Amino acid sequence: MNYEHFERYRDIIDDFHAFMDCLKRQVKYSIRANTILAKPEDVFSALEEKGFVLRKIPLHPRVPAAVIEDMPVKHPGATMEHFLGLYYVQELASMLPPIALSPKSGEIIVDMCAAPGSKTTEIAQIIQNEGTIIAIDSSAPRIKALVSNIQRMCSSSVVVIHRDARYTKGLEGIADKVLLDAPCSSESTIRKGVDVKLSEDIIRKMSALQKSLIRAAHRILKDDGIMVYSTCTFAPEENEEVVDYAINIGFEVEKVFLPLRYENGVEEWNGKTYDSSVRNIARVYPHLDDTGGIVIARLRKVSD
Amino acid sequence: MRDYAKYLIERFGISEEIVRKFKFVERGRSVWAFTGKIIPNKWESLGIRAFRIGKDIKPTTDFLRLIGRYATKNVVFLSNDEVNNFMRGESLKCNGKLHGYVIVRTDKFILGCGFCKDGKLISMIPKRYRFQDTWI
Repeated sequence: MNYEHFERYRDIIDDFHAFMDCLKRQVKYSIRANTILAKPEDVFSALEEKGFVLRKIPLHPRVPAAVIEDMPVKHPGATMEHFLGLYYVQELASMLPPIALSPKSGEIIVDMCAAPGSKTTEIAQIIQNEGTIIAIDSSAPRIKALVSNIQRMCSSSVVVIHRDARYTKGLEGIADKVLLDAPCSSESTIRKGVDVKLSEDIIRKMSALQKSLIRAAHRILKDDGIMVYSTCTFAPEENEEVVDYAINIGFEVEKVFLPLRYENGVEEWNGKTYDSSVRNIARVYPHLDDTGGIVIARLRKVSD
Repeated sequence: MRDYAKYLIERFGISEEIVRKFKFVERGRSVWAFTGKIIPNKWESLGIRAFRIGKDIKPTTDFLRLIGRYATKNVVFLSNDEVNNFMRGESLKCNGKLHGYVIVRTDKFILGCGFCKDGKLISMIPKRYRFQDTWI
Protein backbone atom coordinates (compact mmCIF):
# COMPACT_ATOMS: atom_id res chain seq x y z
CA MET A 1 0.00 0.00 0.00
CA ASN A 2 1.32 3.42 -0.97
CA TYR A 3 0.84 5.25 2.33
CA GLU A 4 3.66 7.73 1.53
CA HIS A 5 1.39 9.29 -1.08
CA PHE A 6 -0.76 10.75 1.71
CA GLU A 7 2.16 12.78 3.10
CA ARG A 8 1.13 15.50 0.64
CA TYR A 9 -1.85 16.25 2.94
CA ARG A 10 0.17 16.72 6.13
CA ASP A 11 -0.41 20.49 6.14
CA ILE A 12 -4.14 20.48 5.45
CA ILE A 13 -5.39 17.71 7.74
CA ASP A 14 -5.59 18.38 11.46
CA ASP A 15 -4.41 15.49 13.62
CA PHE A 16 -2.53 14.02 10.67
CA HIS A 17 -1.18 11.09 12.71
CA ALA A 18 -4.71 9.93 13.57
CA PHE A 19 -5.60 10.24 9.87
CA MET A 20 -2.63 8.07 8.81
CA ASP A 21 -3.24 5.49 11.55
CA CYS A 22 -6.87 5.23 10.49
CA LEU A 23 -5.97 4.65 6.81
CA LYS A 24 -4.06 1.54 7.87
CA ARG A 25 -7.13 -0.01 9.54
CA GLN A 26 -9.76 -1.62 7.34
CA VAL A 27 -13.12 0.14 7.49
CA LYS A 28 -16.00 -1.85 8.99
CA TYR A 29 -18.86 -2.93 6.76
CA SER A 30 -22.06 -0.96 7.04
CA ILE A 31 -25.54 -1.38 5.61
CA ARG A 32 -28.56 0.72 4.69
CA ALA A 33 -32.02 -0.71 5.33
CA ASN A 34 -34.38 -0.39 2.35
CA THR A 35 -37.38 1.62 3.58
CA ILE A 36 -39.15 1.04 0.26
CA LEU A 37 -39.65 -2.63 1.15
CA ALA A 38 -39.69 -2.93 4.93
CA LYS A 39 -39.51 -1.29 8.31
CA PRO A 40 -35.85 -0.77 9.25
CA GLU A 41 -36.38 -2.28 12.70
CA ASP A 42 -37.65 -5.50 11.06
CA VAL A 43 -34.62 -5.64 8.76
CA PHE A 44 -32.12 -5.04 11.56
CA SER A 45 -33.80 -7.48 13.95
CA ALA A 46 -33.90 -10.21 11.26
CA LEU A 47 -30.12 -9.85 10.89
CA GLU A 48 -29.56 -9.70 14.65
CA GLU A 49 -31.53 -12.94 15.05
CA LYS A 50 -29.02 -14.51 12.64
CA GLY A 51 -26.08 -13.36 14.77
CA PHE A 52 -25.17 -9.97 13.32
CA VAL A 53 -24.03 -7.35 15.83
CA LEU A 54 -25.18 -3.96 14.55
CA ARG A 55 -24.51 -0.41 15.71
CA LYS A 56 -27.37 1.69 14.36
CA ILE A 57 -26.57 5.13 12.96
CA PRO A 58 -29.58 7.41 12.35
CA LEU A 59 -28.09 9.30 9.39
CA HIS A 60 -31.42 10.50 7.99
CA PRO A 61 -35.09 9.58 8.64
CA ARG A 62 -35.17 7.69 5.33
CA VAL A 63 -31.60 6.37 5.42
CA PRO A 64 -31.47 4.03 8.41
CA ALA A 65 -27.89 2.77 8.60
CA ALA A 66 -25.93 0.37 10.76
CA VAL A 67 -22.27 -0.49 11.18
CA ILE A 68 -21.61 -4.24 11.36
CA GLU A 69 -19.51 -4.85 14.47
CA ASP A 70 -19.59 -8.64 14.05
CA MET A 71 -21.27 -11.15 11.75
CA PRO A 72 -21.51 -14.92 11.28
CA VAL A 73 -20.71 -14.80 7.52
CA LYS A 74 -17.63 -13.72 5.55
CA HIS A 75 -19.45 -11.06 3.55
CA PRO A 76 -22.52 -9.11 4.72
CA GLY A 77 -24.28 -9.81 1.42
CA ALA A 78 -24.45 -13.57 2.07
CA THR A 79 -27.94 -13.57 3.54
CA MET A 80 -31.42 -14.16 2.23
CA GLU A 81 -32.43 -10.67 3.41
CA HIS A 82 -29.81 -9.16 1.11
CA PHE A 83 -31.20 -10.95 -1.90
CA LEU A 84 -34.71 -9.89 -0.91
CA GLY A 85 -33.50 -6.29 -1.32
CA LEU A 86 -34.03 -5.48 2.35
CA TYR A 87 -30.62 -3.82 2.68
CA TYR A 88 -27.66 -2.55 0.69
CA VAL A 89 -24.04 -2.99 1.77
CA GLN A 90 -22.75 0.57 1.59
CA GLU A 91 -20.01 2.41 3.41
CA LEU A 92 -21.33 5.14 5.73
CA ALA A 93 -19.46 8.00 4.01
CA SER A 94 -20.89 6.88 0.67
CA MET A 95 -24.41 7.43 2.05
CA LEU A 96 -23.73 11.15 2.55
CA PRO A 97 -23.91 12.66 -0.99
CA PRO A 98 -27.61 11.76 -1.52
CA ILE A 99 -28.37 13.23 1.92
CA ALA A 100 -26.54 16.45 0.93
CA LEU A 101 -28.56 16.51 -2.30
CA SER A 102 -31.83 16.46 -0.27
CA PRO A 103 -33.98 15.12 -3.12
CA LYS A 104 -37.73 15.75 -2.93
CA SER A 105 -40.80 13.92 -4.25
CA GLY A 106 -41.65 14.85 -7.83
CA GLU A 107 -38.21 16.14 -8.74
CA ILE A 108 -36.21 15.12 -11.80
CA ILE A 109 -32.81 13.97 -10.64
CA VAL A 110 -29.87 12.94 -12.82
CA ASP A 111 -27.21 10.65 -11.35
CA MET A 112 -24.36 11.16 -13.80
CA CYS A 113 -21.95 8.35 -12.88
CA ALA A 114 -24.44 6.00 -11.31
CA ALA A 115 -23.05 2.45 -11.33
CA PRO A 116 -23.15 0.26 -9.34
CA GLY A 117 -26.14 2.08 -7.89
CA SER A 118 -25.59 2.55 -4.17
CA LYS A 119 -26.39 6.27 -4.32
CA THR A 120 -29.02 5.89 -7.06
CA THR A 121 -31.04 3.43 -5.00
CA GLU A 122 -30.54 5.59 -1.91
CA ILE A 123 -32.02 8.61 -3.72
CA ALA A 124 -34.98 6.44 -4.81
CA GLN A 125 -35.42 5.45 -1.17
CA ILE A 126 -35.33 9.06 0.06
CA ILE A 127 -38.03 10.10 -2.43
CA GLN A 128 -39.89 6.78 -1.89
CA ASN A 129 -39.95 6.24 -5.68
CA GLU A 130 -42.01 9.43 -6.17
CA GLY A 131 -40.02 11.32 -8.79
CA THR A 132 -37.78 10.57 -11.75
CA ILE A 133 -34.16 9.46 -11.45
CA ILE A 134 -32.16 9.28 -14.66
CA ALA A 135 -29.14 7.09 -13.92
CA ILE A 136 -26.28 7.32 -16.42
CA ASP A 137 -23.13 5.25 -16.74
CA SER A 138 -20.66 4.64 -19.55
CA SER A 139 -19.44 1.14 -18.69
CA ALA A 140 -21.40 -1.87 -19.96
CA PRO A 141 -20.38 -4.28 -17.17
CA ARG A 142 -21.10 -1.64 -14.55
CA ILE A 143 -24.50 -0.92 -16.15
CA LYS A 144 -25.35 -4.58 -15.63
CA ALA A 145 -24.56 -4.27 -11.92
CA LEU A 146 -26.52 -1.01 -11.75
CA VAL A 147 -29.64 -2.53 -13.31
CA SER A 148 -29.35 -5.59 -11.08
CA ASN A 149 -29.16 -3.47 -7.92
CA ILE A 150 -32.07 -1.29 -9.03
CA GLN A 151 -34.21 -4.42 -9.56
CA ARG A 152 -33.16 -5.94 -6.23
CA MET A 153 -33.81 -2.72 -4.30
CA CYS A 154 -37.11 -2.13 -6.18
CA SER A 155 -36.20 1.41 -7.27
CA SER A 156 -39.12 1.84 -9.66
CA SER A 157 -38.42 5.55 -10.21
CA VAL A 158 -35.07 4.94 -11.97
CA VAL A 159 -34.49 4.87 -15.72
CA VAL A 160 -31.00 3.76 -16.76
CA ILE A 161 -29.17 5.23 -19.75
CA HIS A 162 -25.92 3.77 -21.10
CA ARG A 163 -23.75 6.64 -22.29
CA ASP A 164 -20.79 8.83 -21.41
CA ALA A 165 -22.28 11.46 -19.08
CA ARG A 166 -20.34 14.18 -20.88
CA TYR A 167 -22.70 13.64 -23.82
CA THR A 168 -25.87 15.50 -22.79
CA LYS A 169 -28.05 15.50 -25.93
CA GLY A 170 -31.72 15.32 -24.96
CA LEU A 171 -31.02 16.09 -21.32
CA GLU A 172 -30.27 19.82 -21.50
CA GLY A 173 -32.09 21.86 -18.85
CA ILE A 174 -34.04 18.82 -17.65
CA ALA A 175 -32.90 18.31 -14.04
CA ASP A 176 -33.95 19.86 -10.76
CA LYS A 177 -30.96 18.16 -9.17
CA VAL A 178 -27.80 16.40 -10.29
CA LEU A 179 -25.58 14.02 -8.38
CA LEU A 180 -22.06 13.92 -9.77
CA ASP A 181 -20.18 11.34 -7.74
CA ALA A 182 -17.23 11.68 -10.03
CA PRO A 183 -14.61 9.18 -11.14
CA CYS A 184 -11.57 10.03 -9.05
CA SER A 185 -8.20 8.79 -7.89
CA SER A 186 -10.11 6.92 -5.14
CA GLU A 187 -7.60 7.53 -2.39
CA SER A 188 -9.99 6.63 0.40
CA THR A 189 -10.59 3.11 -0.94
CA ILE A 190 -7.26 2.26 0.68
CA ARG A 191 -9.35 1.60 3.82
CA LYS A 192 -11.20 -1.14 1.93
CA GLY A 193 -7.86 -2.87 1.39
CA VAL A 194 -7.70 -1.77 -2.25
CA ASP A 195 -4.10 -1.20 -3.40
CA VAL A 196 -5.12 1.72 -5.57
CA LYS A 197 -2.53 3.27 -7.90
CA LEU A 198 -1.88 6.79 -6.64
CA SER A 199 0.17 9.45 -8.35
CA GLU A 200 0.07 13.17 -9.10
CA ASP A 201 -0.30 12.31 -12.79
CA ILE A 202 -3.50 10.33 -12.13
CA ILE A 203 -4.81 13.19 -9.99
CA ARG A 204 -4.20 15.70 -12.82
CA LYS A 205 -5.96 13.47 -15.38
CA MET A 206 -8.93 12.95 -13.08
CA SER A 207 -9.20 16.67 -12.41
CA ALA A 208 -9.48 17.36 -16.16
CA LEU A 209 -12.18 14.68 -16.54
CA GLN A 210 -14.09 16.03 -13.53
CA LYS A 211 -14.13 19.55 -15.01
CA SER A 212 -15.64 18.26 -18.26
CA LEU A 213 -18.31 16.42 -16.24
CA ILE A 214 -19.02 19.66 -14.35
CA ARG A 215 -19.65 21.40 -17.70
CA ALA A 216 -22.07 18.61 -18.64
CA ALA A 217 -23.86 18.93 -15.28
CA HIS A 218 -24.26 22.65 -15.93
CA ARG A 219 -26.01 21.88 -19.23
CA ILE A 220 -28.28 19.25 -17.66
CA LEU A 221 -29.50 21.41 -14.76
CA LYS A 222 -32.39 23.85 -14.81
CA ASP A 223 -31.62 27.40 -13.67
CA ASP A 224 -31.31 27.44 -9.88
CA GLY A 225 -30.91 23.67 -9.95
CA ILE A 226 -28.72 21.96 -7.38
CA MET A 227 -25.73 19.74 -7.99
CA VAL A 228 -23.91 17.70 -5.39
CA TYR A 229 -20.36 17.00 -6.46
CA SER A 230 -18.45 14.35 -4.53
CA THR A 231 -15.28 12.30 -4.73
CA CYS A 232 -13.75 9.65 -2.51
CA THR A 233 -10.38 11.32 -2.69
CA PHE A 234 -8.69 14.05 -0.65
CA ALA A 235 -6.70 15.78 -3.42
CA PRO A 236 -7.65 19.48 -3.62
CA GLU A 237 -6.95 19.26 -7.38
CA GLU A 238 -10.01 16.96 -7.62
CA ASN A 239 -12.17 18.86 -5.16
CA GLU A 240 -11.59 22.55 -4.41
CA GLU A 241 -9.96 23.16 -7.81
CA VAL A 242 -12.92 21.55 -9.62
CA VAL A 243 -15.42 23.50 -7.52
CA ASP A 244 -13.45 26.70 -8.20
CA TYR A 245 -13.79 25.85 -11.91
CA ALA A 246 -17.54 25.31 -11.41
CA ILE A 247 -17.86 28.78 -9.86
CA ASN A 248 -16.24 30.25 -12.98
CA ILE A 249 -18.77 28.61 -15.33
CA GLY A 250 -21.88 29.63 -13.37
CA PHE A 251 -22.32 27.84 -10.06
CA GLU A 252 -22.33 29.15 -6.52
CA VAL A 253 -21.31 27.04 -3.54
CA GLU A 254 -23.78 26.36 -0.75
CA LYS A 255 -22.99 25.18 2.75
CA VAL A 256 -23.17 21.41 3.19
CA PHE A 257 -24.76 19.99 6.35
CA LEU A 258 -24.00 16.37 7.15
CA PRO A 259 -24.90 14.00 9.98
CA LEU A 260 -21.24 12.98 10.47
CA ARG A 261 -18.21 15.08 11.45
CA TYR A 262 -16.29 16.90 8.72
CA GLU A 263 -13.83 19.71 8.11
CA ASN A 264 -14.12 22.66 5.76
CA GLY A 265 -12.66 22.90 2.26
CA VAL A 266 -9.19 24.34 1.80
CA GLU A 267 -8.72 27.76 0.18
CA GLU A 268 -5.06 27.34 -0.72
CA TRP A 269 -3.09 24.44 -2.12
CA ASN A 270 0.35 24.20 -3.73
CA GLY A 271 0.55 27.95 -4.30
CA LYS A 272 -2.96 28.19 -5.77
CA THR A 273 -5.71 30.22 -4.08
CA TYR A 274 -9.33 29.25 -4.69
CA ASP A 275 -12.55 31.24 -4.31
CA SER A 276 -13.22 31.69 -0.59
CA SER A 277 -16.61 29.94 -0.88
CA VAL A 278 -14.84 26.58 -1.31
CA ARG A 279 -14.72 26.60 2.49
CA ASN A 280 -18.35 25.44 2.26
CA ILE A 281 -17.13 22.09 0.94
CA ALA A 282 -17.30 19.27 3.49
CA ARG A 283 -14.22 17.06 3.90
CA VAL A 284 -15.15 13.86 5.69
CA TYR A 285 -11.90 12.34 6.92
CA PRO A 286 -11.79 8.66 7.95
CA HIS A 287 -10.43 9.29 11.44
CA LEU A 288 -13.24 11.67 12.47
CA ASP A 289 -15.96 9.00 12.75
CA ASP A 290 -14.07 5.84 11.68
CA THR A 291 -15.61 5.82 8.18
CA GLY A 292 -14.34 5.92 4.63
CA GLY A 293 -13.36 9.31 3.26
CA ILE A 294 -15.44 11.57 1.05
CA VAL A 295 -15.43 15.20 -0.04
CA ILE A 296 -18.78 16.80 -0.84
CA ALA A 297 -19.77 20.13 -2.41
CA ARG A 298 -23.29 21.44 -2.91
CA LEU A 299 -23.58 23.84 -5.86
CA ARG A 300 -26.42 25.93 -7.24
CA LYS A 301 -26.59 26.80 -10.92
CA VAL A 302 -26.84 30.58 -11.12
CA SER A 303 -29.70 31.85 -13.35
CA ASP A 304 -28.59 33.54 -16.58
CA MET B 1 -51.18 -3.41 -24.99
CA ARG B 2 -52.71 -5.54 -22.25
CA ASP B 3 -54.21 -3.80 -19.23
CA TYR B 4 -51.62 -4.73 -16.60
CA ALA B 5 -53.18 -2.50 -13.95
CA LYS B 6 -56.45 -4.41 -14.33
CA TYR B 7 -54.58 -7.73 -14.00
CA LEU B 8 -53.02 -6.62 -10.68
CA ILE B 9 -56.35 -5.40 -9.35
CA GLU B 10 -58.23 -8.58 -10.34
CA ARG B 11 -55.55 -11.19 -9.59
CA PHE B 12 -54.12 -9.81 -6.33
CA GLY B 13 -56.80 -7.38 -5.11
CA ILE B 14 -54.36 -4.48 -5.11
CA SER B 15 -56.10 -1.12 -4.99
CA GLU B 16 -56.42 1.00 -8.10
CA GLU B 17 -54.72 3.86 -6.25
CA ILE B 18 -51.53 1.78 -5.96
CA VAL B 19 -51.43 0.28 -9.45
CA ARG B 20 -52.14 3.60 -11.16
CA LYS B 21 -48.83 4.90 -9.81
CA PHE B 22 -47.08 2.71 -12.40
CA LYS B 23 -46.69 3.32 -16.09
CA PHE B 24 -46.40 -0.07 -17.87
CA VAL B 25 -44.21 -0.23 -20.96
CA GLU B 26 -43.78 -3.33 -23.13
CA ARG B 27 -40.45 -4.04 -24.78
CA GLY B 28 -39.80 -7.41 -26.34
CA ARG B 29 -41.09 -10.06 -23.95
CA SER B 30 -40.71 -7.82 -20.91
CA VAL B 31 -43.08 -5.35 -19.33
CA TRP B 32 -41.53 -2.60 -17.26
CA ALA B 33 -43.26 -0.74 -14.41
CA PHE B 34 -42.05 2.82 -13.92
CA THR B 35 -43.10 5.46 -11.41
CA GLY B 36 -41.06 8.30 -12.99
CA LYS B 37 -42.43 10.86 -15.42
CA ILE B 38 -39.78 11.16 -18.14
CA ILE B 39 -38.91 8.32 -20.50
CA PRO B 40 -35.81 8.96 -22.61
CA ASN B 41 -35.67 7.61 -26.19
CA LYS B 42 -33.04 4.97 -25.40
CA TRP B 43 -32.89 3.17 -22.07
CA GLU B 44 -31.42 0.04 -20.54
CA SER B 45 -34.01 -0.41 -17.83
CA LEU B 46 -37.17 1.48 -16.95
CA GLY B 47 -38.12 1.07 -13.30
CA ILE B 48 -38.75 -2.59 -12.44
CA ARG B 49 -39.21 -5.48 -14.85
CA ALA B 50 -42.77 -6.35 -13.85
CA PHE B 51 -43.95 -9.13 -16.16
CA ARG B 52 -42.61 -11.58 -18.71
CA ILE B 53 -44.81 -12.32 -21.68
CA GLY B 54 -44.92 -15.94 -22.81
CA LYS B 55 -47.83 -18.37 -23.00
CA ASP B 56 -49.26 -16.34 -20.15
CA ILE B 57 -48.35 -13.15 -18.28
CA LYS B 58 -45.94 -13.98 -15.48
CA PRO B 59 -45.34 -11.39 -12.75
CA THR B 60 -41.70 -11.12 -11.69
CA THR B 61 -40.39 -11.73 -8.19
CA ASP B 62 -38.84 -8.24 -8.13
CA PHE B 63 -42.13 -6.53 -8.91
CA LEU B 64 -44.10 -8.65 -6.47
CA ARG B 65 -41.61 -7.77 -3.72
CA LEU B 66 -42.46 -4.12 -4.42
CA ILE B 67 -46.26 -4.34 -4.53
CA GLY B 68 -46.91 -7.60 -2.67
CA ARG B 69 -47.63 -5.95 0.65
CA TYR B 70 -50.74 -4.31 -0.88
CA ALA B 71 -52.19 -7.63 -2.09
CA THR B 72 -55.41 -8.92 -0.53
CA LYS B 73 -55.83 -12.21 -2.39
CA ASN B 74 -53.78 -15.00 -3.94
CA VAL B 75 -51.20 -14.56 -1.21
CA VAL B 76 -49.46 -17.51 0.47
CA PHE B 77 -47.90 -17.05 3.91
CA LEU B 78 -44.97 -19.32 4.79
CA SER B 79 -43.70 -20.29 8.22
CA ASN B 80 -40.03 -19.77 9.09
CA ASP B 81 -39.37 -23.48 8.53
CA GLU B 82 -40.76 -23.31 4.99
CA VAL B 83 -38.98 -20.15 3.86
CA ASN B 84 -35.53 -21.59 3.13
CA ASN B 85 -36.99 -24.50 1.15
CA PHE B 86 -39.05 -22.16 -0.98
CA MET B 87 -36.03 -19.89 -1.51
CA ARG B 88 -33.99 -22.93 -2.58
CA GLY B 89 -36.49 -23.45 -5.38
CA GLU B 90 -38.28 -26.40 -3.78
CA SER B 91 -42.03 -26.99 -4.05
CA LEU B 92 -44.30 -26.97 -1.00
CA LYS B 93 -47.87 -27.95 -0.23
CA CYS B 94 -50.55 -25.25 -0.51
CA ASN B 95 -54.29 -24.76 -0.39
CA GLY B 96 -55.75 -26.87 -3.23
CA LYS B 97 -58.24 -24.12 -4.07
CA LEU B 98 -55.45 -21.80 -5.22
CA HIS B 99 -54.47 -21.89 -8.88
CA GLY B 100 -52.08 -19.70 -10.84
CA TYR B 101 -49.52 -17.10 -9.80
CA VAL B 102 -49.39 -16.16 -6.12
CA ILE B 103 -47.45 -13.77 -3.92
CA VAL B 104 -45.37 -15.69 -1.39
CA ARG B 105 -44.44 -13.97 1.86
CA THR B 106 -43.69 -14.25 5.56
CA ASP B 107 -45.47 -12.14 8.17
CA LYS B 108 -42.91 -9.35 7.61
CA PHE B 109 -41.30 -9.68 4.16
CA ILE B 110 -42.34 -10.54 0.60
CA LEU B 111 -40.34 -13.43 -0.84
CA GLY B 112 -41.52 -13.37 -4.44
CA CYS B 113 -43.52 -15.26 -7.01
CA GLY B 114 -44.95 -18.77 -6.72
CA PHE B 115 -47.32 -20.85 -8.85
CA CYS B 116 -50.06 -22.98 -7.33
CA LYS B 117 -51.40 -26.08 -9.03
CA ASP B 118 -53.15 -29.16 -7.61
CA GLY B 119 -52.29 -28.29 -4.02
CA LYS B 120 -48.62 -27.70 -4.81
CA LEU B 121 -46.75 -24.38 -4.47
CA ILE B 122 -44.00 -24.22 -7.11
CA SER B 123 -41.21 -21.74 -6.40
CA MET B 124 -40.71 -19.21 -9.20
CA ILE B 125 -37.74 -17.57 -7.48
CA PRO B 126 -35.13 -16.77 -10.16
CA LYS B 127 -31.88 -18.78 -9.96
CA ARG B 128 -29.84 -15.71 -9.05
CA TYR B 129 -31.94 -15.20 -5.90
CA ARG B 130 -32.07 -18.84 -4.78
CA PHE B 131 -30.75 -19.66 -1.37
CA GLN B 132 -27.18 -20.96 -1.42
CA ASP B 133 -25.45 -23.09 1.19
CA THR B 134 -22.94 -20.32 1.98
CA TRP B 135 -25.79 -17.96 2.97
CA ILE B 136 -27.60 -17.69 6.24
